[in-house]
Amino acid sequence: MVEPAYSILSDHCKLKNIARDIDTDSLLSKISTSLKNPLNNSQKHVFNYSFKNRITLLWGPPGTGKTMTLASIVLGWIEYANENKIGINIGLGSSNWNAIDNLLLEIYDLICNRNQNIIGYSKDIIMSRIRSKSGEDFVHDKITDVIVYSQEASILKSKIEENKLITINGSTWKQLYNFSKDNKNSPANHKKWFDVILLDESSQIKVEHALAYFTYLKEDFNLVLAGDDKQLGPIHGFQMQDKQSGLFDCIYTFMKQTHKIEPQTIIDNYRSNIYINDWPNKRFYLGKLESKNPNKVLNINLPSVKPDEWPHALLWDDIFLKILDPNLPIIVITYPSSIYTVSNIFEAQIIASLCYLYKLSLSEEISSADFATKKIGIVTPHRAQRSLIHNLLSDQNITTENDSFVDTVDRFQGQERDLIMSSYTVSDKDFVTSEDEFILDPRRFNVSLTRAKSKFIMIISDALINYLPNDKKVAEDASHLQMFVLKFCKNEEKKTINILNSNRLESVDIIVRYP
Amino acid sequence: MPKLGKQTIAQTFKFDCDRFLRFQLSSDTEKKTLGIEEFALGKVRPGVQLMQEAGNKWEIDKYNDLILGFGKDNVKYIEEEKIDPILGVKKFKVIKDLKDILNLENPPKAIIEAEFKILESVSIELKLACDKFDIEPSRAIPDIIWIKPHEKESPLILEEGDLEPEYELHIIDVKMASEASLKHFTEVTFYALALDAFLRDNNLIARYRVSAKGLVWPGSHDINEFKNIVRKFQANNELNPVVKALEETLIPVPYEVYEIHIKRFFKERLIPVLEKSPKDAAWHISAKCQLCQYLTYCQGEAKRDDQLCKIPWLNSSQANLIRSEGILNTSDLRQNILQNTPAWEKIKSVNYQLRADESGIEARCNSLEDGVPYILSERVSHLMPKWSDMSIFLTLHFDPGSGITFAIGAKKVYFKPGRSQGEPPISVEKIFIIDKVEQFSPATERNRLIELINLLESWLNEVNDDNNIIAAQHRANTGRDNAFGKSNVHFFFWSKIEVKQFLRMVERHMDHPDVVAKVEIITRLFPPDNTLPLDLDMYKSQPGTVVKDVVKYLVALPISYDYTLLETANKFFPKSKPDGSLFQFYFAYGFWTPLNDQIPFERAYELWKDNVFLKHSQNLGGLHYTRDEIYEGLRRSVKTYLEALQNIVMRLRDNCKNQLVLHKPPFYLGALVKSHLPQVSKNLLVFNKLNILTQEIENLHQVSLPIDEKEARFVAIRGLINKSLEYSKEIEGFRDNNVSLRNSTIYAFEFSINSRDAKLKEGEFLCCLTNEDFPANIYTFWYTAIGLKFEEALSLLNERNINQADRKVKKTIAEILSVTILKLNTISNPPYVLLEIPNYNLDMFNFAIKERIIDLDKPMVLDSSFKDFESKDIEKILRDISNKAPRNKR
Repeated sequence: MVEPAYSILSDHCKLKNIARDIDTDSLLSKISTSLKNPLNNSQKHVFNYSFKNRITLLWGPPGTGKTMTLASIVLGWIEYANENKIGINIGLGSSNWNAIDNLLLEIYDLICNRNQNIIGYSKDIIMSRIRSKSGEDFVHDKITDVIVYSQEASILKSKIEENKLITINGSTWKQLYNFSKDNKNSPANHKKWFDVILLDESSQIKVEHALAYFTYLKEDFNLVLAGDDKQLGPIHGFQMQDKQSGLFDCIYTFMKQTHKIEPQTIIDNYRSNIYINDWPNKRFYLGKLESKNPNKVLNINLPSVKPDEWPHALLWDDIFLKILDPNLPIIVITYPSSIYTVSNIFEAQIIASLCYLYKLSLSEEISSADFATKKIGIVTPHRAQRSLIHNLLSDQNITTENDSFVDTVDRFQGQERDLIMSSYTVSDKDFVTSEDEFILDPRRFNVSLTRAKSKFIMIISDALINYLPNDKKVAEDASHLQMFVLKFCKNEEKKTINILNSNRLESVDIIVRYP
Repeated sequence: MPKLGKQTIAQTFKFDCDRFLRFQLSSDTEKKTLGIEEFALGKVRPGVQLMQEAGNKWEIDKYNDLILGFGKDNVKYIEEEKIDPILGVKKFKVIKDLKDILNLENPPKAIIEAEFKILESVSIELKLACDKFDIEPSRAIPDIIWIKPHEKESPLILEEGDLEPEYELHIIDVKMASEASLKHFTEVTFYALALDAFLRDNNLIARYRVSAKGLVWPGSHDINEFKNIVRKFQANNELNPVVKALEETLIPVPYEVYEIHIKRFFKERLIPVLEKSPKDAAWHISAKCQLCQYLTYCQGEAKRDDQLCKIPWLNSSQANLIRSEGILNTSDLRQNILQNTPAWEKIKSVNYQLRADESGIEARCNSLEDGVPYILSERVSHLMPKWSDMSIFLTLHFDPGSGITFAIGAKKVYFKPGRSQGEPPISVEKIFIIDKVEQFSPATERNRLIELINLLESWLNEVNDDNNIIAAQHRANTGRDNAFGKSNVHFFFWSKIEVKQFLRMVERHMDHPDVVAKVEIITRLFPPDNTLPLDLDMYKSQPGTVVKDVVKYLVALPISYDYTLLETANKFFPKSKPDGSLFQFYFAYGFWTPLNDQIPFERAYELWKDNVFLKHSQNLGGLHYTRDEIYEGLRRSVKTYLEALQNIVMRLRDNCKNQLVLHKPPFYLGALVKSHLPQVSKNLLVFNKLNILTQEIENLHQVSLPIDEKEARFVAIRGLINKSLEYSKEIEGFRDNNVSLRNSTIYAFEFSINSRDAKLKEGEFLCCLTNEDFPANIYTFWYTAIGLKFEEALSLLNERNINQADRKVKKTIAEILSVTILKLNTISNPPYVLLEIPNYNLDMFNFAIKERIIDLDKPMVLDSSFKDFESKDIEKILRDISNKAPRNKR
């Protein structure tokens, strides 16, 4: 039997309370000078809570500084170890390398701040990223790229086991498991390595994968599981309708539903303005999510009429000026259509025109790379549509090296942009039926919407808005999107615009909607 | 005057058909002109209207439960004086004075079958429609209006400025189905909307508001269930046991979800449909139309006018797109495809599915027009083997309301090793019927499931044992085992719906210890790679085939709309009888419905309720079936399904033999693993394994798909053309930016623009590159794929100086042609991909080029392959964590 993993799985109440004499207020004040921004009240609460409770569920809605809170908790533990002159081993994990790397880098930045602002730690800090031989290189001055079964891996293991230094180790469950083996063919050893484990995006981590991490916990462990069960979850091949209180879903919901661990919420949304924050706040976050930048608007100088230099290849309609109006932070365009599946020339033309107009109207000079990584994100479910939009934009020299600003919603998770445009593409209702759970997934919609800082524009066909699935669960899921369009964006303006389709000019009746 | 009621609205959503709505709202003159008065559902499917009577009986039972629970004085109702001769109970009369009741100082707790007028104020468009088109709304009669004191947080249908009411009114719709459907939800929502309008029009809103949580009282096969729940709460000294029992029993209907659709129905659909003549309202026959009363009418018209909807699987959006280009019927479409006209070109450019299935659509048009089957001989299918020693045919039939299976058929046909020439195969058939009312519950289904798995396990063990005997003989004779003389096993289902139902059964009962233990047999069908016998040509192959998918791909049949099992068996080159007539399968009346491969569920209800409505034909006396006859009818129908399925498999083997290219290895059942884990760990372990197996089977299925379909389903990239020279700068740039790739072998390929949406990503290392015309499955051994024997392959490797030849000879095509996606540019035109050949595999990849296993100058396809990297580790982790009892405090 491996403890404490067994008790975490079966009954966390069997875990005894550990009374550590930690003055968390003092700890927090010591680290606060090293933080990029001071922690807000809800973040402070989570910080304190995580030191006083063995298991913390950190509910971090979009834009609330989840990664920063996690990094500050790690910094707190480092401070604690430093003060008490003890070694400490910290494990970091997630379902994907992006999240692990983001956390490692955030922690590294805070440590650098700390070393600059105060003095160095009395103990060495070793930061490692443990990966397989075939995994991608990780190039960093201070974070060691450790390959399992290598000499470096053996050295790191012995340092962890000595427990005299401060080690911070990021890895996936699988590579951590391999790391615990002596070689590829030997069995894994469930060593009591980590004093603290923090799992980011834990609402995407399957229960069995999280258990693999837990087998490396010390008996007097602390565990922080950060996530947001309103965003995308793990993908299971075998879909159980009854998730058995999270057992067949993810570790976050398992701990919440089976062990009744109350999530500790960080509630201040620094990303989105009050209007964009409003819908996810009401629908997904129980009214707890508060925009801390309520008046953020798109920083553009829109022309009052069609610009002289407007390209012939792009559509123009005066309605574009209204659609891009910074004072209308949310715009939804609906239109009747029944023929499009994976690409949609109508939506692509509107998106391309709006993108061009936006770039033209920016108040500041900006590089193509910054435009793509900071200013705009175009979310679309299908690559064919991505390609169509790209081609229209590249004709106007709006491209970047990797074109990552036109992508699927999964690629945007964890990112943010001033303006997000969402092209839902599909308008063939029979095709919708074949992918309704995917395209109408409220978590996908939530991720799209909450990437936007100042403005969100959605183009969606009536076919999707009118789609009523037979399945109650899918219907309920779809209603989040449908009600957003029809009830939240209740102001309507009808308009007919012309598009070019196979060199033929076609009129389409659109409705521009806004809250 | 035509009436617009909840049924019409709900069914319009269900069938998603404008014509249905228009026909329902046609005037008597229009109906007469159209000739549709006779199309009552009861005439088309008699069991259904009789089912409604059973539903009425169920409603009455529930009304009585409610009256008993709340007390007679607290419920407003009017009972008929006499017992209804059909139902055997007293019916309830409609209450006409709802307004007066609601105006009472102390209103009742519930009102049964209260009638109120659906006011035109429900929506402006409804009023407009009534005024303009001479229709009127039906009167509403919700089964129960439950009157509850308003609770603060309880959601209500409110308008701006509305105050908190004293009471909230919940619409309760009593249904016999144990799972509520779209139809029920839309009906309840419509009534809620109508009741809200009624309250407002009658100045009742100061006291009452309609709850935004409508309710469905679902069916249960225990008639006393509600009473028992009430007793349970009474025993627990609950203050309001009936309210508690209702809360536990009723299924909430989220008003907001359906309200937007009902309102949009009035706002955007009703008037435009009414403005059209009945003949002009849009329609399209599909599987959705199964229970539509006008199906026969529409089928007649489709046949007469050669409508596009006749073409199987052409959906309404596609048909609209085709019509928008001026192609109006099947014959036109055939000509346009044949001549590849600009109209057809344009259609293909918009709809990738039509483009992908062009040859199939053409063949189906031809078959419909010529009345004979056509084999699509240019196609091959990796989904089905041309031969299997043990064929296992399975069929499942279930009640769509409850999802509970009521009939299962399993048949094995085994050509046992050592049988004499000409000796027929062993044929065993077992039919499971869930027949008893008192036993009908998920528990009964679970028992049948366990029996089914036991049966399958015994059949699989038989083959496994036979193969082990042969293996021992091989070893005794030659010192090495081989595949010769051993048997393979293959499962056959007709449709995906049956596979889904089988999985649903497993899922539904998976938390039961007996089922978890049995599910292991499924996991043993896929033993881990490292436990496969090394001295045998053993590889993983998909365990079964959905036969309809193979028929759809390889054969075009003179069948309209959809290929049902029965029609396929009868139209796919049926055998001749000695008298020259064609052998035909048939089901008895009442055991079959059009466009449906499931036995009508009403037959099952007749068994469960022990109340048979089906009658024999007048020729046979016109009497009701007996319960035994229904039971026997179900058995016979299941038997016919199995025989028809077997027959279709035989026809495929006769007519498409060389097109069935799935290779099957001899059957091998993995070792039985005992576990003593706690239940939670056991469940997690089985779930993890099922997850992996699902992915593996899905992958096996995907790599076996025809190349067009792979592209259409986004599971592979096709049309790869080697352009490494042209992209040399790109390749070098990539090497420069990635230290670890400095010495790697990298190829660049352009590919089909239609493959851009393939679900393959940069960084994926489980990919396999083969030529588009590669004839074998990627999981076969490379040497069998090119017709070599093991020893020959080993010699060849040694001859070519390949290191570790004895290990590499055992590699599959997926392994030797394994590549990693370094860069996937789906935006450029044409799109391209950079692929790395991993260093550890470079010698075998180059060997494959030399031996012409792959030709880089011919078009290629990139598939995702599958390897299980986790289940073994997860199993170890779970066993390590849980293998002893926990201490009290850690």
